[in-house]
Amino acid sequence: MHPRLTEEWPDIVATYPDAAHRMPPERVELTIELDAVTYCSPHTPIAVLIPAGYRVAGPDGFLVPNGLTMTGGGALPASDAAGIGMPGWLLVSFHMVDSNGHTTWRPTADPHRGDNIIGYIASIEAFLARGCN
Amino acid sequence: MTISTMIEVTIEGGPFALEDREYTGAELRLIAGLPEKVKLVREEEDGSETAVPPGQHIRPKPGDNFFVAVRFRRG
Repeated sequence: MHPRLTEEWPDIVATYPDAAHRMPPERVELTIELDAVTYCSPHTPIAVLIPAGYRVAGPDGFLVPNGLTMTGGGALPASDAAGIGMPGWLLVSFHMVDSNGHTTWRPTADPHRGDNIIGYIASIEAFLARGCN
Repeated sequence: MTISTMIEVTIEGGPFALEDREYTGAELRLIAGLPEKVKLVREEEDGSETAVPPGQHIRPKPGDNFFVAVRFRRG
């Protein structure tokens, strides 16, 4: 396991009890709840790939299983992830940036503070709750 | 008789008095009347932000400032 992820892991599991560490590629998989009005399922697995340069480099996106759709018939803004070693998954490019496109990823030396995997997943949850907006 | 110490924090700009104990992120959202799925963060002394998901347990400190962060996007 990536050393920084090792430091964060107890907090991740405490917050998301079904979190699992898998590789390759190195990733965190867990289940999040969805708004059943917006999505075809009330929950979904997600995966967050851990970049080699983590924590300085933030995650580059997250993955959802192929087949997750919105109730209006729309597809998620995602592309096939087979090319990055995740067949059956879709990659959603998703970054911590401001309105000018500048990164706002601000990790700290303390794994419990600043940007971390828990914060990234919280952003994913908020993004999906807003209908991918 | 049990006397509980209260601490003052700010959540989304509003003052709230909390008991000096652990809270979940879900409890803080409920107290402040915020939807569960917003990204609630705590402002740290160095200006960084620490997310507080609904399922996370934290012990607020006096003067803590929590707010809803929207600083992410696709692309």
